[in-house]
Formats: sequence, structure tokens, C-alpha cells
Amino acid sequence: MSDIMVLKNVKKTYKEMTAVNDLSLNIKKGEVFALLGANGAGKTTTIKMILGLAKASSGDIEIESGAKIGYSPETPYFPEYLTGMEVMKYYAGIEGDKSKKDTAYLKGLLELTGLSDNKIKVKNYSKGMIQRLALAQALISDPDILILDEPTAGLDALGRKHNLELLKRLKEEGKTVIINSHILHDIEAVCDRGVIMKKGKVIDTWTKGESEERLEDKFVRLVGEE
Amino acid sequence: MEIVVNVIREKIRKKMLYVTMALGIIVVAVFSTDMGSLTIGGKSIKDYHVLLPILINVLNFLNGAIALAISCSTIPQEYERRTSHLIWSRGISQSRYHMCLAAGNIVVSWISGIILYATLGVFAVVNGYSNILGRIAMATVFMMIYSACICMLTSALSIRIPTLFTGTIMVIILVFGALRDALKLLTATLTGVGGAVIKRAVMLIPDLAGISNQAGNLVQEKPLNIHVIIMAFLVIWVAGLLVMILRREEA
Repeated sequence: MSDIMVLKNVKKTYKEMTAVNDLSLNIKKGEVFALLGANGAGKTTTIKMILGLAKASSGDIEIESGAKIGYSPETPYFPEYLTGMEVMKYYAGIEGDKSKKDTAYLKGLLELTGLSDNKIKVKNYSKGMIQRLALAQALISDPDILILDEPTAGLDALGRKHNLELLKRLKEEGKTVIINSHILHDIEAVCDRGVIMKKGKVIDTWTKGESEERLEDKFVRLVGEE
Repeated sequence: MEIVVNVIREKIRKKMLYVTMALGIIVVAVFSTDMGSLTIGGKSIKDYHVLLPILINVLNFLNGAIALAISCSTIPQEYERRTSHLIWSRGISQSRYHMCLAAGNIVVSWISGIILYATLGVFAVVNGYSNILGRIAMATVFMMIYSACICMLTSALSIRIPTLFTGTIMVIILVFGALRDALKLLTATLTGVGGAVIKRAVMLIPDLAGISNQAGNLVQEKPLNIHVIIMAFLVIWVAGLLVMILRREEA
């Protein structure tokens, strides 16, 4: 599998604080890749730099030419006076691709994530429904790379199961998925590979089935060490 | 375009324009009753022709305050809510994003201004002054220029400055603008380097009240000040450039 994204010696500093330090990653096309680490490890900053939401202080981020990226944030905010379909139409309109504005297409995406095209406004959505909507809008452009920040946070058991199955399906469709999650069971269930970060640095890598040690144990062992 | 439409939709669905309409009705109603009559030399003036320019300035002031309130918060709120993440990540440039938000503010302020002026028109007809409707309609153009200046300046400032400071700076600009002629007189006596700097600073304050006054001049069939009008377009252009140029470090 060829690399769809390469990060070379990426560094991000905020005044005195180094959020990401000399990070190098190769993400292969079609894999589900996990960014793991405790709070403040630099995962979200890494995602922000990949998405262009923050500029790297140094280093390079190379993304395959023409690859489209979909992003589902950890704490999504959608205008509360809109319905789910209106949110989808809004972001589809921003994407500018006319074929993606089609109501049937957008309705399909809502249903794919477990939502329906009803008249319920976002202000009446539960946290789980907002998370699903975040995932649905990330799929509008039919992205090659999907970046999901805590995609199962706030979901009940059924919602989590649904989203994990959806992620497996997206992987089967050949999409590359980058996940930032604290729920290590979910990571083990859907991810192929990942890195464990601490204080902005990669301290270890993880590959599915490479060892008998459970990811959770490995994470606690590595991240818990001082 | 979707971003512009969304700004307008947000203000409409949050019932902001209903508040504007209510304000307009209250102001015009007050001026149409004994409560709002002016007394000059002990003589009560209720003639709409005399009250009209005053009323127009009051409505422009109200609309200016609405334009300021809308524009102060629109851009900062996008970043606070992190709505910006889903816009930036779709490859929309900051220049385009900020300009769309500023344009949305301008359209909302125009709609609110038109509502205020429509209220005025209704009351003019009710009071038997339907002959001035044409002039009220023409005065609307100056209201639009006035609110566009405020929206564009406020939007430009709000990109990098916290909402409270943006509001304070804009209020200072508006107050100093209204007192521009008085300040010019006051500073005329100043000498030295300090005096020269203060004089230049006064010259740089945009005469936003002057633009609003042109609407009053129009309804009274007084000559318009072309310099003030040109200055207004210059303010919109410079502020528009700032909206395009000023950037945030992060979404």
C-alpha cells in the first residue's frame, strides 16, 4: 500500500510550549490509523496541522495530490436553528460540488450515520445525534481521507456499535481513516495501526495483532510511565 | 454564498429582525404622538416635514447600533464555536470566509434598516404624508451606505480584537465622528508635533454621522455633501481590504 499522507519532523510550538515535537508518520492508503495518547499529548494539534487549521512551526506534511479530506470534530457545533438536512445542505453548498447538494444523496448520508431527514432542529439533538451529524457532514465530499476526532464519544452502546460498523464499511470502500480516540476498545476493534503519543512525541507504535498484550495495557504501561 | 445566507438565516431565526421591527414601531409611534413633539420657543412642532430628518437620524442611529451589535460578534463567534474548523478544513480561504461573514452582516443590517424605514413610511401614510414616500425611499440608500460602513469596519476589527474591545473602539469612532467638526475647532489652536499628530488623527476619524445626515438632507431637499459620500465609499473599500487581509493564526 502506498502512503497517502506523510508527516516529516513536524513541530508545533506555542510561545514556550511545544505541543508537537519532531513528529514523523506515514499513513497508508486504505488503512485505519489511530492517534493515541493522554490529554495534551499533541493528537488534536497534529490533526489541526493536517487539516490546515494550524500551521506547523517546522517540518512537512505531504498529502497525496487531489485527495479529499473529511473531518468530524470532537466537539462539533452546528447552527442550532437548522435541521440536520439543512446542516448537510449548508456544508454541501460550501463544498461547491453540485452533485453533492442533491437531497437524496444527503439523505442517504444521514441515514448511513443513523439519522433521518426529519424536521427536528439541531438544538433538540442529543449529543450522540450531533456526533452522528458530524460524521455525516464529513462524508459529504466522498473523502479519500476521513479524520475523526473522538468519533464514538457521547454515543450510547448502540450508537458506538453502529459507528464502528460504519467505519469498517468505509475501510472496505477503501477510505483512509485517521482516528483520535480515548476508547481503546474501539481502536482495537477497527484500527490497523497507530502511534502512542506523549508530550508531543511518538513514544511507541501499535499494530493490530502484533502482540498478545492488549492495547489498553500497553497504553497504561507507556503513558503512565513518568 | 452559503455562508452569507447562513448569517442572514441565523439572525432571522433568532428573531433579531422582529426586535428591529418592534423598535422601529416604538420610535416612529413616539414621534407621531404628543410625547414625541418638539417644542421650539414654546411652540409645539408636530409637522412631519420638520420631524422627518430628526426621525431619520434616530432610525439611522438605531440601525447603526444594530449593525454594530451584529458585526461585533459574528466573526468571533464562528471561532469560539469552532464552526471555523469545518469551513477552513474545506479549503475556504480566510479572506473569503471573513468577507462572506461581513457581507452577511451588511445584508442583515440593510434588511433591518429597510424594516425601520418601512415603519416610517407606514406612519407617514397614516398621518397623510404619502407625498414624502419617494424621498424616504431615496434616503434608504444613505442608510445602507451608513450601515455598510459600520458593518465593514466592525467586521475588520473583530477578526483580531476581542468583541468587547471592538465594540468600544467602534463606539469611540462613532462618537468622535459625530463630534468631528467640534474636535477640528478644538484642535485648530494646537501647535507643535503633538498638535500636528492630534490634528491628523482627527482628520482620520471617518465622518459616519455625516453620512447619516445626508439622508436628512435628502428628505429636506438640502444639497448633499459629495465629499462625505466619497469618504463613505472609501471607508467601505479600506475596511473591506482589511477584512480580506487580516488573518487569524488558527481556526
